Amino acid sequence: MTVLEGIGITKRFGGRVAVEDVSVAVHAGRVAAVIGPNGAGKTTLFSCLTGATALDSGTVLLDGSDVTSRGADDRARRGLGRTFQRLSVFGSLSVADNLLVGAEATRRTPLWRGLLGLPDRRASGDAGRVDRVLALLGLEDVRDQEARTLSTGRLRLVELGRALCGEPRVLLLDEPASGLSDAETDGLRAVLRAVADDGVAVLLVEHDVRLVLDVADHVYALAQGRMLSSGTPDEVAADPAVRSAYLDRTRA
Amino acid sequence: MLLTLQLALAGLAFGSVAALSGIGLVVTYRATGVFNLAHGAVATLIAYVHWELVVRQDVPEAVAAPLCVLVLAPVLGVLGYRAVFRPLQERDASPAEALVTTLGLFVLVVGFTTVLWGNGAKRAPAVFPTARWDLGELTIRSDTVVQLAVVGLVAIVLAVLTGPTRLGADVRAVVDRRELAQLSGVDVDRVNQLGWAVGTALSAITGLLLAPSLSLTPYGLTLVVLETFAIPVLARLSSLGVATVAGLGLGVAQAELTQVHVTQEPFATALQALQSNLLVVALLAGLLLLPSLREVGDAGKARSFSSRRGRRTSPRRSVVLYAIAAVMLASPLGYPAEQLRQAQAVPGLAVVLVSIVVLTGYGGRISLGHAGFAGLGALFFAKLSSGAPELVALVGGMLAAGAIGVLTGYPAIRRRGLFLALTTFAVGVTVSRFVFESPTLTSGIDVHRPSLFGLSLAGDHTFYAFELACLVVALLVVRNLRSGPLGRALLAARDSEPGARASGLDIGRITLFTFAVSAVMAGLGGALLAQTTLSFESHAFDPVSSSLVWFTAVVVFGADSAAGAVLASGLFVAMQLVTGSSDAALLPIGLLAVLLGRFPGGVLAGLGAAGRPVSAPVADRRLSPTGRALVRQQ
Repeated sequence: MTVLEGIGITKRFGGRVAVEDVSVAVHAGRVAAVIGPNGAGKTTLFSCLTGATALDSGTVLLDGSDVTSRGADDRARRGLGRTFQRLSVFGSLSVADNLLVGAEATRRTPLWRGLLGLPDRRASGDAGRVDRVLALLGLEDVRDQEARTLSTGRLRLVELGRALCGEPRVLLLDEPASGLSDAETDGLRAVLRAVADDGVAVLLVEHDVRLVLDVADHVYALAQGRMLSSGTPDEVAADPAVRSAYLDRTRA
Repeated sequence: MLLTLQLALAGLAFGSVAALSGIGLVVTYRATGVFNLAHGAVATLIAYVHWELVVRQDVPEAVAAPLCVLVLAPVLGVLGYRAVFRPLQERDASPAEALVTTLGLFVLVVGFTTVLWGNGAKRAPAVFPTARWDLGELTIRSDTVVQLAVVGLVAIVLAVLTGPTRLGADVRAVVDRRELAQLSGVDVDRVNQLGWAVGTALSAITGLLLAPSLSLTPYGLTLVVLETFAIPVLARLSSLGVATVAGLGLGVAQAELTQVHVTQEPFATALQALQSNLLVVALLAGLLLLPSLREVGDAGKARSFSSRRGRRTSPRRSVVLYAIAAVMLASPLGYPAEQLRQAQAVPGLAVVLVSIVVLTGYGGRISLGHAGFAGLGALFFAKLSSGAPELVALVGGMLAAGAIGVLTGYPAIRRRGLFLALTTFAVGVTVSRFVFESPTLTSGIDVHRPSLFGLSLAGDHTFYAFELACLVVALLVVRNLRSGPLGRALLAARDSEPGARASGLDIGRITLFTFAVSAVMAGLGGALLAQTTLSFESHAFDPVSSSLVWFTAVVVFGADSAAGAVLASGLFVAMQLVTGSSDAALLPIGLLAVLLGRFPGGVLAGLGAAGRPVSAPVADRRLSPTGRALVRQQ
């Protein structure tokens, strides 16, 4: 089942085309990946899908409904979870509280209830979910530690955990492996597989081609803002256009 | 036609002074990255020194004015930079901290002026001779001509300095990227000192030229200079040419407006207000309509003076503070009525200061217009209570303040730092000028104390108890804002807006909510203050002597500390009782604010850190500027 779909996405900055007529689809339980050399438009495409950037033309469908004109927070509440290449954790909150925000914020509880000190009746499952995600990501040892004190690699996991606590239908990850050690990357691969097996649709933008070819079910290759190739990892890896534009240079 | 010309000349006289003030602000900002909110206070201080020299000490004008403008002002500027702003820069403090430090400087300088020369109005001597030449029926004043010549000269000199010279290249390099300029060997320190020297010299000229046309009082002249903020805003903080034209243009436009006549109310009143407040309107319009200011660096982070953490670092300390505050607040209930009356301003003011904590400490937003919210609460309470039960009127006043708070919150959704500070300040000044000082709205107001379900609170003891109850409610609201899902959401939005948005938090909604809660609370505090004095006085809600001073006090005592806000309120009232002057608290608060660079979390946090000031490591100090920049890059 298609959870997130971008159709004919085009975005220009000034006169420069960043992304032109690119279409992607992410399915429940599957991992899709976007690859491409620097400046290919991966991050712009990502921003258009998450709602961080308004697009010039094209449509974004989330669970079949048009969310093109909706903001990032609205898409998040409709089941789109994401992480950032430039980390954006809540540094002064503990790791567990970072995850709690992820669980609470998607509900849009009336703010005045908090002002009057009224409890949120729907909060009962939050603590359990936070504990499960902490265990999944191996963050139990730092659960009460202030987030700003952690290393980059673990902060990427905190961000992933925050997104997972929102119970996303689709998870978008922007370079999740950058700054991670080899062991941490192996852990991430297992987590991504487990998340997808849970029925979540996953889309990642990644420089680490080995990770992509290893974990992705479907790969989109971008170059200069256009779709160069798309298919299974093997098909894309074998595509001569892709090899000349990207793969050979990276592997060399 | 003749009248138009004559008015234009009068307008140019004021416009040239306004242009000089605006140019001074832009020069300092471009060269140092600091928008000097103390510009007006410095102008006033120098005007007082000039008055002292000429009137009291009989120094000839030809000596006094150059001494003030060319020696005293630049020296003060450079000293201020070395003592206050250079340490901030060495610590790599955020522009928001520098902004608050200029506020501290403002409070300190105004306090100093008041202590030395008192609050009474002085008649300042004219700087230039005032000969009149008659050209047919047109009268030209010599001082207007001289002032225009000064503006022209200043503009040309600055254009040359920032133009194709070595110094000009250095200035432009520093403006572009401070660190890179440092790395490529530009003497950033020299550019900074020059920026401060030129800026304060221009503020001195402004003070000297403006003072004779007003009666010289510490706040009066300061506010007029602050109104010229309109000019750097219209110049988007960058263009000296636009600043010059905007100053002259606004001066002429304000003068020409007096030709327009309307008799129909309420337009006549509005026009009258516009005629004397064109700069204020231009400031607000410029801030709301221009796309954005060209700010240097990232002034977006109010986080730096809000040290609040997700987990409270020291619960024991705040329990002790609350216990001290509770005993001090309750003790006046045991006093006889006469002495109790002197303490009645404390809870009302505390509620207002706590409302600033809500917005700045918890919401991470600067607000320099809180006296506007408080005054609206007071005014609407007073107006409504003539026709409705007092409690209903009180709620009405709070809602009125909340409505303006929400309106102010809209532009705040996308604004931060200096842009937001100026916008809230402009809102405060506008409300003060067009509402609080409007005779039709504020004359003949009778303020009563409320009665609660038939129980009159008019007695001094019962009223004080009611005030304390209101303060407790405000503090309970604050507690709710810092705990549970709401507290986490506010912290999340403060720490990382993209992250908060990606988690599903609606930043716009949270911003409006924080502004609304803060303004409603400020409205309650304002109404309590009016009930304390049984009157509505516009100067109690002044955009300068109240808004700016209150905000500074809150930041000094820890922007995120409600207990600190309550203590600050006690300090204001206690200092007034001890010294008999309402400005007595300015000196300590200003001094502490200027030292904020060394105690980033506020005084209480500084005390908590056992007096260990934050400063650059010794080794770092021994480095050259280039070396420091290198170390910082890592």
